[in-house]
Amino acid sequence: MKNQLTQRLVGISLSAALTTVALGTVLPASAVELTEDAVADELGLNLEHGLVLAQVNLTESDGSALKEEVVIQAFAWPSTELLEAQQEGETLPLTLVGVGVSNSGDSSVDIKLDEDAARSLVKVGEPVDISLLGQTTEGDINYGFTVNTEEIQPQVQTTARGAFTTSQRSELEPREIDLVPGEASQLPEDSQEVAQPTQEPYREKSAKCYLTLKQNLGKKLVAVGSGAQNTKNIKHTFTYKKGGVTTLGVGISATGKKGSFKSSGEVSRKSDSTTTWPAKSGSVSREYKTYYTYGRYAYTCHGMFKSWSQEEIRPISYAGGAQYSDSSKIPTATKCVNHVKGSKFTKDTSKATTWSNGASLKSVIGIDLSSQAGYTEAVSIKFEFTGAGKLCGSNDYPGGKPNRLVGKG
Amino acid sequence: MTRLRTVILTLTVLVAALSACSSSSSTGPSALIDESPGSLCVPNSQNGPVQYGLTTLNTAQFSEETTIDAVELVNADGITVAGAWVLPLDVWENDVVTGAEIAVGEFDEYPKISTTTPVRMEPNTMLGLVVALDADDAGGAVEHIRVQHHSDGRSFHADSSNRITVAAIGEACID
Repeated sequence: MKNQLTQRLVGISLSAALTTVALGTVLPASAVELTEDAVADELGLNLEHGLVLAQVNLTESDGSALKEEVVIQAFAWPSTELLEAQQEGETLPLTLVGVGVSNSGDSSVDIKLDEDAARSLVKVGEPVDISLLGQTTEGDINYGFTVNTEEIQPQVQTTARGAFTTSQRSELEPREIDLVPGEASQLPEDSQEVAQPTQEPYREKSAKCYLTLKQNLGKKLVAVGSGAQNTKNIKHTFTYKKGGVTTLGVGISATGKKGSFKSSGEVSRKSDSTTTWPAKSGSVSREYKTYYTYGRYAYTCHGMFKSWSQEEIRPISYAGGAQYSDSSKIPTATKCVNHVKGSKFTKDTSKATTWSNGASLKSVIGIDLSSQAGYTEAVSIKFEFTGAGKLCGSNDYPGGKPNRLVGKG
Repeated sequence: MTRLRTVILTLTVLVAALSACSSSSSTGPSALIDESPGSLCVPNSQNGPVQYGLTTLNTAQFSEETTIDAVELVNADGITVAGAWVLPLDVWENDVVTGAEIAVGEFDEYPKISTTTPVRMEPNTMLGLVVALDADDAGGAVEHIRVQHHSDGRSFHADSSNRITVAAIGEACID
């Protein structure tokens, strides 16, 4: 069933790709003003239902609006199942699912979802990775994020005639993204220049893109939680739950050389088992880590006159495992409440700490990528008071939204 | 003519009264309590209610005075509310001990929430909530603490996200 749905996604891509070639032909350089309708027609996308996938604020590095027209295409990655099965060297198509058009001087771009693509995403029923790709004279646009199809499901339902209803389309929470073209990556030195039909700087307005798994990097440690206390009268237990979603950073590079990678967006992955670390008492600050597999991908986009490629490092799937690292430095947490001896408090984290360097990839690509557990209820931490003590949060009181929790004697 | 005026006046007053009644009786969830999910277990006490002090009340979203009308338990089994007070944050942080017995008159100097003496909060203020929970000897549990309040001419409720369990007397909290 899932394969059929994936094939359907691929089918959308192929039909759209057949029309993308024409767009490059009719819209060389900036001779013709782009409109969303025209671009959608050329790409074979139906944007009439108005589902906005992302709201992109596209600016120059000084914050001013770009002085050129830009087309940003949204591509869906294959399902986790397909990515897990992908062999090194194997190429899969990315599926065109939406598009947004920015006119010169306007920094705001709504990336709208194609109706058929939205329906297919709902049927897939699991989180889908999206890459926003485009080209400007300032550099490439490449940003990754994950759409939780459950967010779409209650809203995007079809009527008997297959159309979306107005009341159902406003619930999808668009991702808000700030992008500065070229900041996250530069055009590759070895990009393939098929032709150069004009003297003006040429950027492709549409393309068909593929991804190749260049290397399965295997298991990498990812920080998913932390707990601390400064007394032997308190112990804590950390649990990483089955079905919990962890948000993991994506690294991109034009050349793929170590040291050339920069962070650009993040994608979500689900754990498929529950892991509970041993309870820890005594004065300690403990960081909890598990493993995710990572892949080094090359994706190549073919436009009408030009092809270009980039490398990307991103998580493939949850691999399990329970590691930790200890520190004697107790984190600062000042929002405290008192607990009686014998009480227990468990926090099911809805939004936990983001570690900018939580995924250990420095040895491979020159930087560590970010990690954050708790996009949904991914983790829980339990504090047991074998003596009277305090429980303190770093951002809020423990009963509220405390971020880090620290037990104090 | 005078009779017609009286009828019109009466109808106008009636419509206004109904309209006011309908606007103030509308209820909905509010952000007076803003919590992520959690759970608490405390030992039981033979000497009376125990303190629950994990929830704060914040009126940041309201432009006018907020009146706290009542504190209730949602899906409670074996637990009742013996009293509820709002305290300044610094006092709440220091003096409230979650799970400890409440001494007689311990929080009497602070505003007690009840249907006869509603507590008022200015906009953009934060107070600590302490609730006295009376549990059966066999213990009990409650899904949420709910605070009923009204502001800006509307009625609201705000739920705590922390599930509370009180152990049976003489027994420890179990997982």
